[in-house]
Amino acid sequence: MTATESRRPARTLSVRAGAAVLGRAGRAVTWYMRELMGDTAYRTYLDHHAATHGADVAPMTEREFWRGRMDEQDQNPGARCC
Amino acid sequence: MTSQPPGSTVEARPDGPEPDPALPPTELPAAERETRWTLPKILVWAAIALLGGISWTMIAIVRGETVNALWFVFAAVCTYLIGYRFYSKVIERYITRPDDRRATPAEVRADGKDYVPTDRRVLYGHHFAAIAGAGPLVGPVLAAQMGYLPGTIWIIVGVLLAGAVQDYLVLFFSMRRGGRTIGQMARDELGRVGGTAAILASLLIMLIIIAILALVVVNALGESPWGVFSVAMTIPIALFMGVYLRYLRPGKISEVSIIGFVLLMAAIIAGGWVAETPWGIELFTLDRTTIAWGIIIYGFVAAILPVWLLLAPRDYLSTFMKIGVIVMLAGAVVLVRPEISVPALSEFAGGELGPVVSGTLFPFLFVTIACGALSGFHALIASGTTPKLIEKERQTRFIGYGGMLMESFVAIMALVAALSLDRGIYFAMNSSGAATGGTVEGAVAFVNSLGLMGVNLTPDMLTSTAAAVGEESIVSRTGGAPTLALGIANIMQQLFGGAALAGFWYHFAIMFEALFILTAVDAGTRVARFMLQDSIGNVLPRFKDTGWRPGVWITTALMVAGWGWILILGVTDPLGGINTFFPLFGIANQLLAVIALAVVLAIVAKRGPGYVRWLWIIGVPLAFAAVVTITASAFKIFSPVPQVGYWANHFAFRGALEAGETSFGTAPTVEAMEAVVRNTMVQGILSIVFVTLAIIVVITSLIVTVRAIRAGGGESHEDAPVASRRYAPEGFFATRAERELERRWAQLPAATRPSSARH
Repeated sequence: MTATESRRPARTLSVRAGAAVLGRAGRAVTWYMRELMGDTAYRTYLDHHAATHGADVAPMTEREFWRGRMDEQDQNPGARCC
Repeated sequence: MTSQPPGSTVEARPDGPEPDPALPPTELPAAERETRWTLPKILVWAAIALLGGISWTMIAIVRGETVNALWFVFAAVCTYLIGYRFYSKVIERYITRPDDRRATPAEVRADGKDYVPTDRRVLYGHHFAAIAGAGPLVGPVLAAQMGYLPGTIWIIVGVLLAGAVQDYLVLFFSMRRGGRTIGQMARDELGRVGGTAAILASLLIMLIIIAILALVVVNALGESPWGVFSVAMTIPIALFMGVYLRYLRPGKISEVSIIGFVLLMAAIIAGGWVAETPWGIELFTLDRTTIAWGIIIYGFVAAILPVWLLLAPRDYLSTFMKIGVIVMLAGAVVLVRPEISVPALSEFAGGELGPVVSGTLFPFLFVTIACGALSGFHALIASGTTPKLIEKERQTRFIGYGGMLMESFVAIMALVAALSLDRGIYFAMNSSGAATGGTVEGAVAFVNSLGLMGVNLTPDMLTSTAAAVGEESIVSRTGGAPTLALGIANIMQQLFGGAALAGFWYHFAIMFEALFILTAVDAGTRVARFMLQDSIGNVLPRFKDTGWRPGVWITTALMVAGWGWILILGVTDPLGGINTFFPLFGIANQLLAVIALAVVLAIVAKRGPGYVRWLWIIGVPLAFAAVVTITASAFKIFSPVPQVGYWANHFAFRGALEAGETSFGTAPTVEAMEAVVRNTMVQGILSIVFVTLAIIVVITSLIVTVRAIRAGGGESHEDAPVASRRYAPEGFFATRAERELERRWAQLPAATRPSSARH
């Protein structure tokens, strides 16, 4: 095996490993942003609903859920600091 | 302690609830939580301590021509790390004593909406976005007049010993009480008098804070067509986002925030073009009074419109920008490493006649920088929303203490950005219009007459800087926001775009400050209205019904009138507005901190004799904040120096009016003199009210505390403990033992595994 041959696969490997790390970091950032901004709130509600009511009671639709959430904020304002 | 396999037994603590034997442990055993001081760990912490020590030496002791901004970043970060790792653990061990075998309110009352066990890292972001706004960006800029050292020490040391302690303890004790607010806790712990004083103070403080923040926006946008256009555009952008989320794609918050962000950038760029057209200048060059009325009308309309239409989308945009800008600014400071030529202690550190904010270093530095070091307003956030989302008790240290450290870091960044400016330009921007006359010549004459070391301001410096950022003038742009924006533009243009983009960065910074502030105005008006509805509702029950529109309109109008009145007084103040009103903001904020710490002191004293030895952890910041608030108020009430004492000024101007004079000091007309008489009276009365409330709360708290110490404890208002049925690590990174325990929970059959907000 010559030196160049042994180097090439090593480089491909490191590129692949780098891509994997980047991919993982990207997924972590996306996950964090979606959680922080509240994109997943409806799914959280569905999970909670399934865990407490089972299949007996139909959960709210996504549209109803978001309307209810906004109406609640109207009733209970939260402060924002300076 | 003997080492045990993770979670094999639960320590025998008398007050713990009985755990379910079928589940893995809900708490890591003490032996697993202890740090084993291995050599690498010792070396890492020694290195952090060493780097921090060197940085402090470079800032505080070495006196060169300049000091590099990087030392500020290192000094801050190393000190935060040490404070977080060591001091907050002392507080945890001796004051809060969390017990992860107890379920948090989020677990006990889980409803999928208000009470949701939330991933600690996500909740950290939520909490940070709720506590940090324009406050930590403004105070440090104004305090820069005293030199860089006093502000830096107060921001970094203050947060470790006071600000973060308050946030952590309020968060923890509110969590133990099902998320009760600080007002309710004050009533529970201090009785009727203390509780009423606390609620009254919160309401007043809310109004003052909204008014002063609005004043900052007005000063940033006055006579600036570019700024007015781009900030005004945030309203249609938010409305569009609201409609999009309501009717087109409900729940796609990140998506609409990115769209909103792109539109926002387009609005800033478009503002640059509009401000160069004749019709743009005609339409968007507004004087300060007009802008103030615009904000008052906006505040009223925004507070009665449904949340989904304006407030919620604006809030999403603001959260999105907040995290992004702070990461960007921190990165830019590290990459650009600006040299700072401001002296450690300026000519104004020793006196009380500084042109930016008047008053001696003690106590006025400590009220000028409130947010970032110690901010009482956080007690309103740390009680209420955040405690209802905490998954495990031990996470309160990371979220409460750690969240405040991040805000302090933002304040340091703002300080660095302001310090990187030329001092002559800094003083020309921040001295009141009364001093500079609002003209370039006047500003140059005034600043050069201050006798500042190494400052030689020329008219050309002011006009070319203004032109570079696309503004008509930068003279007397008080309030801190324009100065910070110029500092940010200065740093960012060295990274991206050079001088060509200076105007963009300047207005980008103005835009996000205005965005935070308008969100705070809108949300604050709603909260204040809610408090008022509740109070009036005790007499007229109809007002308690939040769905009754006339009640909503009346209370909203009352609250808007309250802060709008102070705002108009500030805008038309012949003495310069910010310079005279800003101390009230700081005093009000520290007063709320005094109240929060006093409540916490009483709570801890009631926990029992084992806590008395450690009461100083709360007593020290409480005593300091009380002394600062009371002394600052006393100066404002009793000082014979007109620049400092409200009443001294009041009587000086009244005397002049009675003597028939038609101009006095910086007031050129009788009307202006009458305005000063009116404003100083309002300011003087507010100072008296604040100091009285502070004294009442401190005294009631001391009485309750002493009584509790004598009795060996007192009544606990904590919720009854319920056994927890879930587990999560406590800090940002999970330790190996924590991951091991998490794995055991993950292996449970799905039916018995707890549901959570983690996907």
